[in-house]
Amino acid sequence: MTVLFFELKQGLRSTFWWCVGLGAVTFLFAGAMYPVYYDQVNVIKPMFEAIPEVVLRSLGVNLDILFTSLGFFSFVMMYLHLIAGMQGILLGLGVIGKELRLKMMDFILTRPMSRSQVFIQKALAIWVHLTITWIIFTLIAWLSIAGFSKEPIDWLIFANLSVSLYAIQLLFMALGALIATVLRKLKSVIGVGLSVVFALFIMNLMQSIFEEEWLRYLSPFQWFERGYLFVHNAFELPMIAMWLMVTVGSLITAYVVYVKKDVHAV
Amino acid sequence: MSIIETKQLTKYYGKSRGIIGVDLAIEEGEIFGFIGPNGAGKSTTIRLLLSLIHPTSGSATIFGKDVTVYAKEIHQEIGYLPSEVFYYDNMKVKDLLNYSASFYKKDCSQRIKDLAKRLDLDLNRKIDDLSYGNKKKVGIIQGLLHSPKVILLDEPTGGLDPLMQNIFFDILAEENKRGATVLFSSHILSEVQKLCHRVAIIKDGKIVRVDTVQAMKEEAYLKVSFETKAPVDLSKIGFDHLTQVVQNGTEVSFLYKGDLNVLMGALAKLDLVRVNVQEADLEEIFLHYYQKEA
Repeated sequence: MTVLFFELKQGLRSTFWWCVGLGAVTFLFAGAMYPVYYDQVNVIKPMFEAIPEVVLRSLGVNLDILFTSLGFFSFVMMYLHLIAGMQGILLGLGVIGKELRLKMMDFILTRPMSRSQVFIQKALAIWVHLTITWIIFTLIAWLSIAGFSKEPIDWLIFANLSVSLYAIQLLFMALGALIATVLRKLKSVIGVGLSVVFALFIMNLMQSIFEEEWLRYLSPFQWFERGYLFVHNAFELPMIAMWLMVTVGSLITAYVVYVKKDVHAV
Repeated sequence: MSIIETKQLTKYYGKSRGIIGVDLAIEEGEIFGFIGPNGAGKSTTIRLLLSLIHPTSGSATIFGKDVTVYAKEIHQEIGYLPSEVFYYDNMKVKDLLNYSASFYKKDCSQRIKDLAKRLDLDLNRKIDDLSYGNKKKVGIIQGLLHSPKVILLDEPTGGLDPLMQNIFFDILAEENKRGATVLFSSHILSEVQKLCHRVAIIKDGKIVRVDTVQAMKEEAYLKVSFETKAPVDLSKIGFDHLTQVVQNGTEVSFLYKGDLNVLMGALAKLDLVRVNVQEADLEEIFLHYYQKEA
């Protein structure tokens, strides 16, 4: 458990700040700001209706559901997904690729521990960090919505929205792990990680604008479409299949590459 | 049974050659030198032994166990110091060493303190603030803190000042006395000669010779250069075993292999202005190997 405890300890501070960031955005936008916004709905609604629909879609605004507490939360979720994706990929790249970036692969792989153990313990450490963040996020979101909502809440929709954030965290963590294992060199975790997240986020915006169905399969942020969640109170099966395939596939590939690859001198 | 053994060990990186058909048998308690120019295959061999890379063909065993299949068990008893050392960000020396020690099933705290004292290293300093030489010391302690049975050193002396090199060699000699087997790769012949019992020479990925240091010393080449007041006819002086002879008027240089007394006797008969006799460096010895093959 040496690597697990080491990575848990090393990531504590960063996880604390992710919790603060995600929690603050959630509390501010899904909680504290909602009453102000709700009180002004008669002023705000016509303003939104004047904006072209394509612009609203690209901003993740769905006017049918926007003016409820959960609907507003689901709008904020689009940006919370982005933050969760960043945390996932930065942890995947940063923890699995830590020794690659620091040119310390020789160090970690000459300890009396199999490569398989090193990878699994690192992946477990990331999972713990992500889960802690998700639990804290869910608690803050729940308290914020319960505390500030003006109408009864369908908590199943809330639960689905919350789970979608966890799924995004895990998906991007798996992508980060995959990239960290296939690269020969890793100079900047932030550079690589944010490029991937923003590229996929932009693809999500493109899909919102052009509404090409096939594009949805290529943009992970679309896999947990909030409008569908509201109407059907469930996830879309084909998108869940995509999530499962990409997340599990990336993790298994990353594991195999990590265990088998030649580690060259630096 | 040899403690480290390779049989026809071969590694290709795509189409480029790493090592080809390397056969080595290192006995328990030996200090074994592994010399060759840059790119000859020293690091490739050591990385194969550590299972950092996987062989294209052939096999390698340590303690009689296959290095790939039993990497985890073997690493429990192996200490490794690479030519360049790198560490985690924002860590104190003692944190890194304690982390390294936590992988082994023994208490290494006293040993860390002892080695740090010998190498004059402050355990409370941040690694990022250390000079390259001091970072190397961290690497030495990290490689030896668990009293390994086999120590693999890949050009380990870079960055260490001569005083520290001596202390490091003393520590290695003590480890060897304790029973540790040492494989020491280097491109500096003199440091291998100082420490090792046997030496393998590797060139272009192939072992060209394995012999005792004593036998190599007896055959050592000397690089001789001198200047006389008047040009001399080398054929009349009676030198044997000369290679790479260059004569430029009154200045002469060559590689000499043979009895030093015979050489000095012959030189004494000349009307010398200047004379310089030194051990030939490795490159020149390798040049000799190339010539022999041609």
